[in-house]
Amino acid sequence: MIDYDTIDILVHRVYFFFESGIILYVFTINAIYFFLTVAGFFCLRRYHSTFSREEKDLLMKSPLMPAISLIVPSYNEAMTIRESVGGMLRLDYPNYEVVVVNDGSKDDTLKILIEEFKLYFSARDVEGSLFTKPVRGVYESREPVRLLVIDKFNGGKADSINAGINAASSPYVMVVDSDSLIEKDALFQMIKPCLEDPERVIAVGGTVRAVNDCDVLHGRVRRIRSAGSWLANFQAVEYLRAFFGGRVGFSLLNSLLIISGAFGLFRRDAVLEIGGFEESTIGEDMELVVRMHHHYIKNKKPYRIVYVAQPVCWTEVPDSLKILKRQRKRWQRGTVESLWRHREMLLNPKYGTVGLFAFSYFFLFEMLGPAVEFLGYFLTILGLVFRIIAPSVAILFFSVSIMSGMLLSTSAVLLEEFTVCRYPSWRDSWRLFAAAIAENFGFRQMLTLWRVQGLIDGIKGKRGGWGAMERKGFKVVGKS
Amino acid sequence: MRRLKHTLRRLRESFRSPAADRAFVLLKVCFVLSLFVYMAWQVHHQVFSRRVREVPLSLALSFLSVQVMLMTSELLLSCLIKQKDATRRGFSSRALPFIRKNLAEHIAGEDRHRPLLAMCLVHGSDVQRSLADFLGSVEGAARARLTALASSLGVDWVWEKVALYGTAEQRKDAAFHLGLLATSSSRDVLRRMLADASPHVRTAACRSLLRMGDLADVDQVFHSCLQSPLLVRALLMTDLQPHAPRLLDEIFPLLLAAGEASQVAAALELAAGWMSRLPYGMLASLLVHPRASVRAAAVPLLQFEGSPARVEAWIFAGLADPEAPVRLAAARLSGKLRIRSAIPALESSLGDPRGEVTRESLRALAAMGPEGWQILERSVLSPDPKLAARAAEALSAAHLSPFEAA
Repeated sequence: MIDYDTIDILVHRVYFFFESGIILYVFTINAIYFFLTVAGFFCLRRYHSTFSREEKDLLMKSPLMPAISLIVPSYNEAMTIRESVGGMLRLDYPNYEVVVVNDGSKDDTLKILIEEFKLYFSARDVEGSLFTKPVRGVYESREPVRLLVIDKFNGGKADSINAGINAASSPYVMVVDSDSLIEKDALFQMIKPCLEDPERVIAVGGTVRAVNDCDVLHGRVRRIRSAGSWLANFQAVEYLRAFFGGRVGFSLLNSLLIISGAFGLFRRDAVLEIGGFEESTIGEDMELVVRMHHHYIKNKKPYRIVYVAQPVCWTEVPDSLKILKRQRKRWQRGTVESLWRHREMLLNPKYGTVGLFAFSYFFLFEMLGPAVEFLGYFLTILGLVFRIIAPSVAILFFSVSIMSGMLLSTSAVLLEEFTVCRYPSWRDSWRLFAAAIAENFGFRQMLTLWRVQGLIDGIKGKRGGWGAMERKGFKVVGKS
Repeated sequence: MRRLKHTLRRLRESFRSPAADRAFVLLKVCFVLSLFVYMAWQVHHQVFSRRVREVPLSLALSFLSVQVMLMTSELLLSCLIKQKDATRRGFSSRALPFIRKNLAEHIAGEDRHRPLLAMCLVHGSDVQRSLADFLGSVEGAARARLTALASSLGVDWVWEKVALYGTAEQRKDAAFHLGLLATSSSRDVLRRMLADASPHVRTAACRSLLRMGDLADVDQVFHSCLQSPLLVRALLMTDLQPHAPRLLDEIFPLLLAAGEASQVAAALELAAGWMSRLPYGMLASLLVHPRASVRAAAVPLLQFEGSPARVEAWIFAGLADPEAPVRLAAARLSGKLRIRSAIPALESSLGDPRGEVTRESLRALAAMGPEGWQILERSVLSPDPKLAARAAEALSAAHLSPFEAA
């Protein structure tokens, strides 16, 4: 005979076991987020100073400044390539070259580059130690700042970056997305940690921000403003949270696991030493940084991977749910792949803070986090339907979780105002604060769902290509 | 007393090391988080534990309340920041013309100590900023009057204290300001700042001391510069340039006799940047230095050597050096100086195992004119595809079509 009371008690116990686990999980993740945000506040005020105008003038004249190669992988970027490469050719830095890698684009990317920058077909052969898809041709310009365009067969983003690294002639390479605009003094700010500690700094990451609805002229962001659409503003807040509330803290602990593929500077010999960007993963940026940690710690070599807040790379964020969904699923798959490849580091004391804190954090919270959050929502609904928990309790715990998200997002916006303050107007600040609050109702849950899908795809080992996005193009003002 | 001061200073410097700095930040973060938990606990203990029976629910309510409080404070703080900035800008825009007028009148000979002292109490930072601007733009008696004014207003004391106890950014600004004052006490503080943990502060202190022009300070700055990271050298190169002849004559020999290879290489980089000619004997000894980094750094200095025969001889030796960086530097220089007698040696370098040396040799040959081009044309037809491609690239760079040449 079935004892319904025993089953009921058992179900309740199992339910509360899981629910308590999820509450503990949410508490831990929020505690870590708060830790990183507060650390971000102190670090941004302490370490992230800029060069003065006079210092920049001195450095511009100095022959001691190391050369930098900007590597710009591009695939079907006809819409934005003119503005972005034009902007990159007008940066303040004494010694740099721009290497654009056209990864077999099907649109007019190459044609636009040849016509706009008056390129000639060069006899140059791209040779180097990194294996890539064959190069069809190399084009060069006669302009004072050297522009090199490598036209190659399609092989993916990592393959294109590797081709660029092969062609680069500088000790430092900076990878920039071709749909991005970088600020005039970005190279100075990015190279700063390398000048301060050239022996140890092997990689530097900068800040990425949403350019949607900002005024652009001659490849520069002339007027910064918050985006017109809520979706873009949600992402703008998300970027602020990720960079100011996360990467600053990880950088403090020398355990930064991600340098954005859209904006990162690397010591070329360090990248070559570990075999360049990995082509078989879609999260090539994170994979490279994790591999750097893995390699340098394993070989007991002193190194630093640093984040700097000041240099900003402005990028167009998806304005449609369809593209955003594709992007987030791709990112999640990339995280899964990178972490799984280097799972040896997980909770491994041999890898110090990286293995014990950063890697574990990414594994438990960034990789599995969406699944746990999803399970939390599911269990709460289940508990409400079967009357295992009271609606008031469910609402209370839901409110605590939502309020934590709001607090973190508003803190990130406040952090921006306190430190770099790129949005000086009241209107933009309030829009961002409103987005920081509103994103927790619907947008966050939607991201969770997509990330769960990305996690499943990652576990299944689904492959991916460039993940190209439909562009609207920059909001160009005046005559460019 | 002096010993105690010295110990305290050492202690302060050790607290400024990057590791200690990081530890401080982590401590602060832990303190803030503990405060947050304490606030939540207090709300639970004082308010909700009496009304809500279940502890988890009471704790959740407490956390929720604290979060709401914090978020509201953040929004208010944001308004305050914006309002404060706007008010400050307004205040400054009203006060600055008055401060500047008084400073100008003081320079002209009137006594404006009193109104400026009154302004100092309300607009201290504006007075300091204006004073620094004026000090940077005047010389002679006017500067002396402003220095005396700074002293009587207590501004020099503020800058000295900030230089010792402020944040890195504040110390850097203070170093610049103290350099403008150029008093004996500011010089002492600046000398102390040469040992600062932050390279930015050290650079600012070095530049201020160089501006003061004391020769003993120049030597100290030069030594400090060689021990500092590349950033400091890059920033100080121009400021040290006027002192280059004396440094080369007096300091370089001592450095070469006792210095580490890394410091010697750094000094040579600076000398190349200044485009200075080293005495031949010294240069010759550097070109046979046991460390390849020193030899490679010495090769570019050959371009300032007067005797072409000596330069050629050393370039041949450089091209035959067992270390790639030296061969690379020699190939680069031969192309830059267009030393035609080096063509056979450059041609033999085309088989160099290091790609960058081959490429540089090809570039050097491209710079030699018809004689070098002939070799490149032959190389374009070489059975070695890599060499052929590199030769074509060099020809292309020399604005010659490889097909025409072939």
